[in-house]
Amino acid sequence: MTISKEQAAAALRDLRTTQDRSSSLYKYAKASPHLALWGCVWMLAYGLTDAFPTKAGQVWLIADCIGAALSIYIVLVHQRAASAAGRLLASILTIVAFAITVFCILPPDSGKQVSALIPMIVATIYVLFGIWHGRRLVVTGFLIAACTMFGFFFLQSHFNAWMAVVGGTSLILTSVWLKQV
Amino acid sequence: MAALNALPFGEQLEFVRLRAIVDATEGNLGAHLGTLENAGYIVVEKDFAGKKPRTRIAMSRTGKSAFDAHVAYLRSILSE
Repeated sequence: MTISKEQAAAALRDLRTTQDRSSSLYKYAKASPHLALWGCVWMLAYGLTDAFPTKAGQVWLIADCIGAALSIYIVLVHQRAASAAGRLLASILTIVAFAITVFCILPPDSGKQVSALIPMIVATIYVLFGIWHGRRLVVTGFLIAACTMFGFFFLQSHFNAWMAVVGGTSLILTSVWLKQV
Repeated sequence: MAALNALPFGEQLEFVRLRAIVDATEGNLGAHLGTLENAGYIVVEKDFAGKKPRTRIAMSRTGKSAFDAHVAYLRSILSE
Protein backbone atom coordinates (compact mmCIF):
# COMPACT_ATOMS: atom_id res chain seq x y z
CA MET A 1 0.00 0.00 0.00
CA THR A 2 1.54 3.32 -1.04
CA ILE A 3 0.69 6.61 0.57
CA SER A 4 0.77 10.12 -0.83
CA LYS A 5 3.35 12.77 0.00
CA GLU A 6 0.73 14.69 1.96
CA GLN A 7 -0.12 11.62 4.04
CA ALA A 8 3.57 10.92 4.66
CA ALA A 9 4.16 14.54 5.72
CA ALA A 10 1.16 14.44 8.05
CA ALA A 11 2.32 11.15 9.55
CA LEU A 12 5.81 12.55 10.16
CA ARG A 13 4.32 15.67 11.77
CA ASP A 14 2.22 13.50 14.10
CA LEU A 15 5.24 11.41 15.02
CA ARG A 16 7.28 14.55 15.74
CA THR A 17 4.53 16.08 17.88
CA THR A 18 4.12 12.90 19.93
CA GLN A 19 7.89 12.48 20.34
CA ASP A 20 8.36 16.08 21.43
CA ARG A 21 5.51 15.84 23.95
CA SER A 22 6.78 12.54 25.34
CA SER A 23 10.34 13.87 25.57
CA SER A 24 9.25 17.03 27.41
CA LEU A 25 7.07 15.12 29.87
CA TYR A 26 9.92 12.67 30.53
CA LYS A 27 12.29 15.56 31.35
CA TYR A 28 9.67 17.23 33.55
CA ALA A 29 9.24 13.98 35.52
CA LYS A 30 13.02 13.76 36.01
CA ALA A 31 13.26 17.40 37.16
CA SER A 32 10.27 17.20 39.53
CA PRO A 33 11.89 15.51 42.57
CA HIS A 34 14.85 17.91 42.40
CA LEU A 35 12.53 20.93 42.54
CA ALA A 36 10.72 19.45 45.54
CA LEU A 37 14.06 18.81 47.26
CA TRP A 38 15.41 22.31 46.66
CA GLY A 39 12.06 23.82 47.69
CA CYS A 40 12.55 22.16 51.08
CA VAL A 41 16.21 23.29 51.18
CA TRP A 42 15.16 26.88 50.46
CA MET A 43 12.46 26.80 53.14
CA LEU A 44 14.97 25.61 55.71
CA ALA A 45 18.03 27.62 54.67
CA TYR A 46 16.32 30.94 53.93
CA GLY A 47 14.29 30.50 57.12
CA LEU A 48 17.41 29.92 59.24
CA THR A 49 19.15 32.84 57.50
CA ASP A 50 16.23 35.08 58.41
CA ALA A 51 16.39 33.92 62.03
CA PHE A 52 20.22 33.92 62.32
CA PRO A 53 21.56 36.35 59.70
CA THR A 54 25.13 36.27 61.04
CA LYS A 55 25.23 32.49 60.42
CA ALA A 56 24.08 32.76 56.79
CA GLY A 57 27.39 31.57 55.34
CA GLN A 58 27.48 28.40 57.43
CA VAL A 59 23.77 27.72 56.93
CA TRP A 60 24.03 27.87 53.15
CA LEU A 61 27.27 25.90 52.99
CA ILE A 62 25.68 23.02 54.90
CA ALA A 63 22.31 23.31 53.13
CA ASP A 64 23.87 23.38 49.67
CA CYS A 65 26.09 20.39 50.43
CA ILE A 66 23.10 18.40 51.71
CA GLY A 67 20.95 19.50 48.76
CA ALA A 68 23.63 18.58 46.24
CA ALA A 69 24.24 15.19 47.87
CA LEU A 70 20.52 14.38 47.90
CA SER A 71 20.14 15.49 44.27
CA ILE A 72 22.93 13.12 43.27
CA TYR A 73 21.31 10.39 45.41
CA ILE A 74 18.00 10.88 43.58
CA VAL A 75 19.72 10.47 40.22
CA LEU A 76 21.82 7.48 41.30
CA VAL A 77 19.28 5.47 43.27
CA HIS A 78 15.83 6.47 42.08
CA GLN A 79 16.58 7.33 38.50
CA ARG A 80 19.43 4.82 38.13
CA ALA A 81 21.55 7.01 35.90
CA ALA A 82 25.16 6.87 37.06
CA SER A 83 26.50 8.89 34.14
CA ALA A 84 23.87 11.56 34.75
CA ALA A 85 24.93 11.75 38.42
CA GLY A 86 28.47 12.60 37.34
CA ARG A 87 27.20 15.29 34.99
CA LEU A 88 24.90 16.66 37.70
CA LEU A 89 27.83 16.97 40.10
CA ALA A 90 29.87 18.71 37.39
CA SER A 91 26.94 21.07 36.72
CA ILE A 92 26.59 21.96 40.41
CA LEU A 93 30.32 22.63 40.71
CA THR A 94 30.19 24.79 37.57
CA ILE A 95 27.36 26.89 39.04
CA VAL A 96 29.30 27.29 42.29
CA ALA A 97 32.46 28.27 40.40
CA PHE A 98 30.50 30.78 38.30
CA ALA A 99 28.95 32.36 41.40
CA ILE A 100 32.36 32.63 43.11
CA THR A 101 33.92 34.29 40.06
CA VAL A 102 31.01 36.74 39.84
CA PHE A 103 31.47 37.66 43.52
CA CYS A 104 35.22 38.11 42.92
CA ILE A 105 34.65 40.40 39.94
CA LEU A 106 31.64 42.21 41.46
CA PRO A 107 31.99 41.99 45.27
CA PRO A 108 28.54 42.09 46.86
CA ASP A 109 27.64 44.94 49.21
CA SER A 110 25.28 42.80 51.27
CA GLY A 111 24.34 39.23 52.12
CA LYS A 112 20.99 39.89 50.46
CA GLN A 113 22.70 40.36 47.11
CA VAL A 114 24.39 36.96 47.52
CA SER A 115 21.07 35.38 48.53
CA ALA A 116 19.39 36.82 45.44
CA LEU A 117 22.07 36.09 42.84
CA ILE A 118 22.14 32.30 43.30
CA PRO A 119 18.41 31.77 42.63
CA MET A 120 18.70 34.12 39.63
CA ILE A 121 21.46 31.89 38.22
CA VAL A 122 19.23 28.85 38.81
CA ALA A 123 16.27 30.64 37.20
CA THR A 124 18.36 31.49 34.13
CA ILE A 125 19.45 27.87 33.77
CA TYR A 126 15.84 26.67 33.92
CA VAL A 127 14.76 29.18 31.28
CA LEU A 128 17.64 28.26 28.96
CA PHE A 129 17.03 24.54 29.44
CA GLY A 130 13.32 25.02 28.96
CA ILE A 131 13.77 26.88 25.65
CA TRP A 132 15.14 23.63 24.25
CA HIS A 133 13.32 21.00 26.30
CA GLY A 134 9.89 22.24 27.38
CA ARG A 135 7.82 25.30 28.20
CA ARG A 136 7.09 24.27 31.78
CA LEU A 137 10.79 24.63 32.61
CA VAL A 138 10.72 28.15 31.14
CA VAL A 139 7.75 28.97 33.37
CA THR A 140 9.59 27.47 36.35
CA GLY A 141 12.59 29.69 35.65
CA PHE A 142 10.46 32.82 35.32
CA LEU A 143 8.63 31.97 38.54
CA ILE A 144 11.90 31.64 40.48
CA ALA A 145 13.17 34.89 38.95
CA ALA A 146 9.93 36.76 39.69
CA CYS A 147 9.88 35.61 43.34
CA THR A 148 13.50 36.58 43.79
CA MET A 149 13.31 39.99 42.09
CA PHE A 150 10.08 40.98 43.86
CA GLY A 151 11.48 40.01 47.24
CA PHE A 152 14.83 41.68 46.60
CA PHE A 153 13.45 45.04 45.47
CA PHE A 154 10.21 45.34 47.46
CA LEU A 155 10.64 43.41 50.69
CA GLN A 156 14.01 44.68 51.94
CA SER A 157 14.52 43.21 55.40
CA HIS A 158 11.93 40.45 54.85
CA PHE A 159 13.65 39.04 51.75
CA ASN A 160 14.89 35.84 53.41
CA ALA A 161 11.52 35.10 55.02
CA TRP A 162 9.84 35.74 51.63
CA MET A 163 12.18 33.35 49.83
CA ALA A 164 11.72 30.71 52.53
CA VAL A 165 7.93 30.75 52.38
CA VAL A 166 7.03 31.88 48.87
CA GLY A 167 10.14 30.75 47.05
CA GLY A 168 10.26 27.36 48.73
CA THR A 169 6.53 26.75 48.32
CA SER A 170 6.68 27.79 44.66
CA LEU A 171 9.38 25.22 43.96
CA ILE A 172 7.42 22.47 45.69
CA LEU A 173 4.17 23.32 43.88
CA THR A 174 6.05 23.51 40.59
CA SER A 175 7.47 20.04 41.23
CA VAL A 176 3.90 18.71 41.52
CA TRP A 177 2.93 20.50 38.30
CA LEU A 178 5.89 19.01 36.43
CA LYS A 179 4.73 15.49 37.29
CA GLN A 180 1.33 16.01 35.67
CA VAL A 181 0.81 14.69 32.15
CA MET B 1 5.91 3.95 19.31
CA ALA B 2 6.77 7.63 18.81
CA ALA B 3 6.15 8.28 22.50
CA LEU B 4 8.46 5.41 23.49
CA ASN B 5 11.08 6.40 20.91
CA ALA B 6 11.48 9.77 22.64
CA LEU B 7 12.83 8.09 25.78
CA PRO B 8 16.36 6.75 26.33
CA PHE B 9 16.50 3.17 25.04
CA GLY B 10 15.22 0.70 27.61
CA GLU B 11 13.43 3.36 29.64
CA GLN B 12 9.92 2.31 30.61
CA LEU B 13 6.74 4.34 30.44
CA GLU B 14 3.74 3.59 32.62
CA PHE B 15 0.50 2.71 30.86
CA VAL B 16 -1.43 5.60 32.43
CA ARG B 17 1.18 8.16 31.35
CA LEU B 18 1.38 6.69 27.84
CA ARG B 19 -2.40 6.83 27.56
CA ALA B 20 -2.39 10.51 28.54
CA ILE B 21 0.46 11.32 26.12
CA VAL B 22 -1.27 9.76 23.10
CA ASP B 23 -4.75 10.74 24.32
CA ALA B 24 -6.27 7.30 23.74
CA THR B 25 -8.86 5.30 25.63
CA GLU B 26 -7.72 2.42 27.81
CA GLY B 27 -9.20 -0.19 25.50
CA ASN B 28 -7.86 1.42 22.36
CA LEU B 29 -4.33 1.70 23.72
CA GLY B 30 -4.49 -1.80 25.18
CA ALA B 31 -5.38 -3.22 21.78
CA HIS B 32 -2.54 -1.35 20.08
CA LEU B 33 -0.05 -2.48 22.72
CA GLY B 34 -1.19 -6.07 22.32
CA THR B 35 -0.47 -5.94 18.60
CA LEU B 36 2.93 -4.32 19.13
CA GLU B 37 3.86 -6.84 21.81
CA ASN B 38 2.89 -9.78 19.58
CA ALA B 39 5.11 -8.31 16.86
CA GLY B 40 7.99 -8.08 19.34
CA TYR B 41 8.20 -4.28 19.05
CA ILE B 42 7.61 -3.57 22.74
CA VAL B 43 8.23 -5.23 26.08
CA VAL B 44 5.38 -5.06 28.58
CA GLU B 45 6.10 -5.54 32.26
CA LYS B 46 3.36 -5.96 34.86
CA ASP B 47 4.01 -5.69 38.56
CA PHE B 48 2.79 -3.92 41.67
CA ALA B 49 3.71 -0.50 43.02
CA GLY B 50 2.81 -1.14 46.62
CA LYS B 51 -0.64 -2.65 46.32
CA LYS B 52 -1.51 -0.99 43.00
CA PRO B 53 -1.09 -3.02 39.79
CA ARG B 54 1.26 -1.30 37.37
CA THR B 55 1.94 -1.84 33.67
CA ARG B 56 5.11 -0.45 32.12
CA ILE B 57 6.09 -0.47 28.49
CA ALA B 58 9.48 -0.14 26.82
CA MET B 59 10.50 -0.31 23.18
CA SER B 60 12.46 -3.40 22.13
CA ARG B 61 15.49 -3.32 19.78
CA THR B 62 13.28 -4.88 17.09
CA GLY B 63 10.74 -2.14 17.69
CA LYS B 64 13.38 0.58 17.48
CA SER B 65 14.62 -0.81 14.15
CA ALA B 66 11.07 -1.07 12.83
CA PHE B 67 10.24 2.47 13.92
CA ASP B 68 13.41 3.89 12.36
CA ALA B 69 12.66 2.00 9.14
CA HIS B 70 9.10 3.38 9.14
CA VAL B 71 10.36 6.96 9.54
CA ALA B 72 12.93 6.41 6.79
CA TYR B 73 10.17 5.08 4.53
CA LEU B 74 7.97 8.14 5.17
CA ARG B 75 10.92 10.46 4.46
CA SER B 76 11.71 8.61 1.25
CA ILE B 77 8.19 9.30 0.01
CA LEU B 78 8.69 13.02 0.63
CA SER B 79 11.97 13.08 -1.23
CA GLU B 80 10.55 11.44 -4.40
